Amino acid sequence: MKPAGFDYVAPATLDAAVEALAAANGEGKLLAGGQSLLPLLNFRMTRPAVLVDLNGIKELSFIEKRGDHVAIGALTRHRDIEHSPLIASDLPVMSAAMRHVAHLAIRNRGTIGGSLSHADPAAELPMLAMFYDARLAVQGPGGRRTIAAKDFFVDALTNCLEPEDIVAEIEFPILRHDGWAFEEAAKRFGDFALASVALSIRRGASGIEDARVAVMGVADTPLRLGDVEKRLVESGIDGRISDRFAEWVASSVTPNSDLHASGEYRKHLLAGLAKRAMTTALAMKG
Amino acid sequence: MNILPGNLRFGARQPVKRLEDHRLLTGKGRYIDDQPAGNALWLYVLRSPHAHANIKSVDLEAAKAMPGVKAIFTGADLVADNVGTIPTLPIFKRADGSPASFAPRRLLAHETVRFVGEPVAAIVATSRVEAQDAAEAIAIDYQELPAVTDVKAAMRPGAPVVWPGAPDNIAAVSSYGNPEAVAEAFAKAAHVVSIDNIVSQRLVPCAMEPRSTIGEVDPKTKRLTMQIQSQTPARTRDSLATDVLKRAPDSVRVRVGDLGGGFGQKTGLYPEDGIVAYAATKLGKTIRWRGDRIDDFVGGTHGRDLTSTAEFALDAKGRVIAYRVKSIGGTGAYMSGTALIIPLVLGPFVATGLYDLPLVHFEIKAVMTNTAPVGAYRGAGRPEAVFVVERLMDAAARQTGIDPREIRKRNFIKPDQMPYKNAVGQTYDSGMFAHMLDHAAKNADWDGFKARKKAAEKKGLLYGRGLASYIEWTGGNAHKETVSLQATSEGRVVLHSGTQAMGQGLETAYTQMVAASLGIPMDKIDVVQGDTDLAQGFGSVGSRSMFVGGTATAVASVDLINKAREKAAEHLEAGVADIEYADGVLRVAGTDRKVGLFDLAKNESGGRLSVDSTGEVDAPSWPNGTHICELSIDPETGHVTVERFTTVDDVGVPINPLLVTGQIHGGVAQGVGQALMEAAAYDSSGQFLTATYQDYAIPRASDLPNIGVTLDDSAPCKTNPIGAKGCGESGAIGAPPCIVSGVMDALASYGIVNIETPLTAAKIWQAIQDAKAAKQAAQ
Repeated sequence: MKPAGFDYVAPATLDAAVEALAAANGEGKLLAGGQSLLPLLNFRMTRPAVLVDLNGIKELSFIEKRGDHVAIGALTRHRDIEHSPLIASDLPVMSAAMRHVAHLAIRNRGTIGGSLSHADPAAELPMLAMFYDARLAVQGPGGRRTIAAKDFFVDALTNCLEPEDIVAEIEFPILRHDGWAFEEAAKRFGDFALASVALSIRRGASGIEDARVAVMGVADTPLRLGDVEKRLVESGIDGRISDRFAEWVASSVTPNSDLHASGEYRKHLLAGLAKRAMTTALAMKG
Repeated sequence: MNILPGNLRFGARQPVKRLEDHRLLTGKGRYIDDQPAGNALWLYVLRSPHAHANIKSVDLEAAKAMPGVKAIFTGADLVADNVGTIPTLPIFKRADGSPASFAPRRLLAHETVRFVGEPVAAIVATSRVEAQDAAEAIAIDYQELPAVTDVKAAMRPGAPVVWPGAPDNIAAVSSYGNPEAVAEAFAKAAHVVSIDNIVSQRLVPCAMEPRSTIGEVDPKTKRLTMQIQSQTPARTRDSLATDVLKRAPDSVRVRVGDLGGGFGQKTGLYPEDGIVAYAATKLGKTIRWRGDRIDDFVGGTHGRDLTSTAEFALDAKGRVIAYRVKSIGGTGAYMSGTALIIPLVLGPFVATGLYDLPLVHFEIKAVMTNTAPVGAYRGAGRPEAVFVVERLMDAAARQTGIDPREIRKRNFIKPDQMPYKNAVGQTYDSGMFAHMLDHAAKNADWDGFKARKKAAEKKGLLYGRGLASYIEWTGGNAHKETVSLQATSEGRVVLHSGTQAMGQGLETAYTQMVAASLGIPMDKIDVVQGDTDLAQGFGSVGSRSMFVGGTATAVASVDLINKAREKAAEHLEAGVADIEYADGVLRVAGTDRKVGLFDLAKNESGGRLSVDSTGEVDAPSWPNGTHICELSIDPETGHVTVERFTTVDDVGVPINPLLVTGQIHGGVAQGVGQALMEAAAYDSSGQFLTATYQDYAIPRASDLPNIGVTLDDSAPCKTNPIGAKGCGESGAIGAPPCIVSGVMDALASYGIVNIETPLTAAKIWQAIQDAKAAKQAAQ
């Protein structure tokens, strides 16, 4: 054992988990896939009094189509999302992004609820939640409520949940689009992103009718770029559209510098990725 | 050198698959942490959070009251008990001729801490987690002092002083050559080529198995048995016994077991080993310490850290007529056993590379900073030195317009100059450097480069070719090894060797040698290493295990046959001269009178027919060769993709080409890591920024191309009977300059001549932007 001591409970239902978490009086932590929590525990950077293990709650693991959206249970493993035919057909940007989520061993264990709750600004799933305008169903002592992704991510590694809340499932509205792309640059394949762009468009007679753009690795939270989406819809499709898109995306962010890359470099990377993303999306049959 | 009968084949050139793999890959290895917990107490090492501070007071009261705590030791306790410090070689001098000066390396800091991660207290408890919990309850009042982490900053007047004995932070210096003659040569040179800041940055050696130690005292005899992850068990034992515990070496036994990588980081005694030994002795209990990965990052020795300014004077034909290098070697806050010898001696041994450069002037300063101690890491001094000369040779090729192969060939030592004594007095016995270069160029399809470059450029990529020729000094100045070889009455042959397997495959290589020499099947041969009660050689450092340890094994094989012939002569009542040995049977020539080797063992004491044999080589061996790579760079991102990597390596006679190729592969991978991504970084306050694999990047399989290795044995080693040269480190020597050469070639059109490694995408991109900006400004 490396972590500081803690009590461990393994409830079999979501209600029991909420109860256990509430009983911990703000000193509890949820264990899902453990891919971020266990290192933090082992370095003793976090010291919960109680660890509530969600892995026995079967009801939290599913991928379902429900009308105009796909619902994913919080305990669904990255690997299952990566290989889901339903995700591939209805949430293709998510499907493409999943192979960038860390490494195989981590994808086998890591869960979508865990990744969203951890709120790493350079992780793919929080960005996809922003991108798809996802709704997070959260269970707390007062029952279930829904939080929009845009309200969920507050800061780097910080979400808006109360200490006794548990993310139960996430709804991803299906985009009826005809072109999309996911682009990411990392130091090595599988590392946290230095910069990443997700793009989806629907084309019509006058050009782009609807657009979705999100970025990550370039701010304290993933960002959906609503202004850029608007400009895309207003702008026609011509030979310069990819360049304009790249400029708009890059000028929307002011990334920080750190040990791995300067802010200027991240911004440049982002522009390059955006250009490539638009070129890819436009190359799909409209 | 031992003279051996010429008809023994020693199993050379056989690509036998690793015999140890089945055991290791199926979980049957015996690493230290595989030991059952038993009733051992656990020791936890509390480390300094400050880079430089005085310890004003230590409050242990709360910690001592924690559950399970049996004892807590601080630096003061060790001083009171007269526990010694960990030594380094005492042969170096400061510029004024006074002895080298540096802080004593204590097991636990006393009064002052000098780097983040320095051990300050050791807690012994019934479980590991209790010991760690108690460590958190220790209250230490630190008075923080200014710290310095950069070697150049450390040399500036007024810089924080790491150790008062050396107010300029320079622990020791060395110099070589003839400054006046070199200055004269530069004055009349047709070309002067110089590079200002050639940096082999600080690296973290990354053995798969983090360090750990167990100490156990026999209650009756008081003998101390240590299980230590050491590449050099006997030396580690001697240092622990003599320097630290101040007791007779034979009252301590060091055992290793399987060792999950060393790379030089595990060559010496560590404070944690000493603390465990001290605690075991003091408490009379079995004590275990298990390091986490972070204990290796912050508490293990780092590698490299050499900053050089170098210049060539060349004549009009591209012959280098003089070579001048000024280097700063970072030692860290304390001297590891090898801290000074690496930059001051081992690097200079090969500083002139494969070139005939008699006129040199080298000045090296060993500089202390508030950082972890620097020690050996695969190559230890040679990668740094070869990096400098190869970078300069490339720059010279570009400046003079001579083909990079041609300028090397014009300056290579020629085969007819062998044996060749280099500028610092080291003698190369053999080598066909131009031949190796040509062979590598052929294997790398040198002429096909243009077409590949064109194809890459069509895709919008930059494309470059890197070339580096390397030479390595091997042997660790330890040219003797004693092994014991035994035939047992149970029908087995057992070899005890003081060299230490840590992934090289020594068990396989020694087994195939013994099998070939004795004509005994390999599955009847046992190789036992890592026990100072069984063998006491120098250990495995400096790529010496095969050419020195293998020589000893070859000698032992001959000795065992000779001894068996004598015993058989008695047994069969015949003259020794009439006894023939073949495949485990001794026979009176021309008769059917015979006795088996293992039957003879039955008459011996303990059922073992045994020889202790010393193998000695005359000199270091000098492996060498040429690496060629091709790589592409995405100018948009700066990302480097290594497309091709080809080596031709002269390791003399390869005993097991499969194992050697694996050694080259591993070394190249680490060299690519050094060139492209690895860097140990401190901030200016002395905090270590790269203490996990999230921030310290090492190459993965997906970052490497196929590595095409060819072993060329046209020039067998002439100073040992088996003809082998060392091979463990050469990949890590050739690869860094080769990759950097390729990147510089790809960036040549921008006029970029030097970027400090690691050449990360971000740095390359920035260099391209800067070059573009400079070009625009100039217009």
